[in-house]
Amino acid sequence: MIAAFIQSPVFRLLPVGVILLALQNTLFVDLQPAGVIVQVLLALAAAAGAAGGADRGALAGFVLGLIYDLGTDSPIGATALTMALGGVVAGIAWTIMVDPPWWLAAVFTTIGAAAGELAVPVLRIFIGEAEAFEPRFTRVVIVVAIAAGALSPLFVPLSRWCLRIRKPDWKALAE
Amino acid sequence: MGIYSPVRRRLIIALLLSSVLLLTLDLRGNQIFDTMRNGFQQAMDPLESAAEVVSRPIRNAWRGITQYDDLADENEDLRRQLEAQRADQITYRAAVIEFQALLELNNLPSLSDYDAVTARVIGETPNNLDQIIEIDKGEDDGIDVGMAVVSEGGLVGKVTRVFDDRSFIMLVRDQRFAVRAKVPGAAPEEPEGPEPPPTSANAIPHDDLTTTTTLPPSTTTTVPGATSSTAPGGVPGSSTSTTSTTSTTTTTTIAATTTTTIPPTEKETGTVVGQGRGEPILLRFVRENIDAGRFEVGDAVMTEGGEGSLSPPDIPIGTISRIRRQSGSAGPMIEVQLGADLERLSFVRIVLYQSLEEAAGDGG
Repeated sequence: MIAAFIQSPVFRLLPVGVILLALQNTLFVDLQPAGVIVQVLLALAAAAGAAGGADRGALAGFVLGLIYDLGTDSPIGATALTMALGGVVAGIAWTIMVDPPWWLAAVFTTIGAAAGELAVPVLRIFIGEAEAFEPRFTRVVIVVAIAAGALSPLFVPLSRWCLRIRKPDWKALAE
Repeated sequence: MGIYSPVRRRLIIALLLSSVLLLTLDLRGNQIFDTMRNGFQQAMDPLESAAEVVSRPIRNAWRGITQYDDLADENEDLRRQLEAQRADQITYRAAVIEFQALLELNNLPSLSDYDAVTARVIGETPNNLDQIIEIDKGEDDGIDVGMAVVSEGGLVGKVTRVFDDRSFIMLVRDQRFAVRAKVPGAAPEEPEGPEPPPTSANAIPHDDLTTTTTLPPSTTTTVPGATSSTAPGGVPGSSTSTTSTTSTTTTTTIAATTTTTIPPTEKETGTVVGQGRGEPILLRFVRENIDAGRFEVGDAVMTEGGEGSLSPPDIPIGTISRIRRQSGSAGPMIEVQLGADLERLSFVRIVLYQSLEEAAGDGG
């Protein structure tokens, strides 16, 4: 069982997620382009979707979202759901091309991150918050999405390593 | 999604449904989740400290690049303000001491009557929607959910979640934040148009005041021979006559009393709500009473307190920075400039105050 866990995609994702959460809580709280906090865990979830497809994006988003929920004050499952959605949306890239070039992966990481960030206030409305949309929300979505796209050349290979996606796997899926 | 097998689709749906299930369980209140969260956050502490140290040069460089000009301008501005406020501070301090003494004299509660705990800010929520900070004090120090949190500048927020040795504070600017507030002492508005000239030294231009005018004896007449007289205009019952065979002295005291109502120091109440980071705080549901006085930019806004409020009365929130008057029956939209600087919070104080309703709830 332990061997199976070590071999599973989650095993590498957990320490990477925890390290990114520590950076999110310290570095990225201060580094705010246009006054917006860049969401690195969401960027990694979306990159995983762009790199490995919707199912792997959903898995990465779920795990990273749970780490985020445990490490912050947000309700457990809330960020897991929105990040999983972000990963699934980014995974749509695979409907176009199984092995997308870096720029296409960046485009779909951007779209996935935008979808994930957009899902946050929508979910808040579902759980009963009256005014979940801030006036500056459009800017938040744009900055978070662009930052995720900018980080994708780093995060796409990182997510491939975390989820153990190898080149033969991509080809097998394409065939 | 044509390339996805049913197994992969099922996996996606299962993950999404699991998230919804976890969310539902947590929103209903789950002790296991709270314990897990607390344990995870304690385990994260050393890692975050390491990340803090490692990332400090990057953050300093970023601040240097993005905030240098702003900081230089702000520094200059603050120096100017400090100079201007030095004299005011002495006056205000004396006034505060007098105010506290008066409250004590009248057995009225003041903010200094409540115990408070000082705590260090150790974190900030890393998402863009919530405006929440984390402090290093919790239930062990007597902190409870709902308690007001203040800094030197005034109200900062309220406690929303408490663990043994840490708590989460929702800042005033969070969209979910709301607290009853008041604008004390709105000045009566001067009537428009030319002011009527005063008719006498005692004349008061506003007819909304109580006046009690006692005129000096209007007539003092000494008449040889037996004469008794009452001065014209004398009010029966208020004039006295003394008659003697040699001389008559008539002393008349006219007391003219008009009884009307003096408007008390006005106290308009409303609700202060946050609108998110970078947006002004709003004072809503407040009705402007023209007779009593209009709000003006610079008026103080304070917590109202009261039986149902989680916050004690008279905590300064800020000052009115903008008033948007609306046509129709809607009250004005008032923007409030916060007294506390939420961007530079290092230490905060938690007022250990429980409203009467809360205290009754705990007791019962």
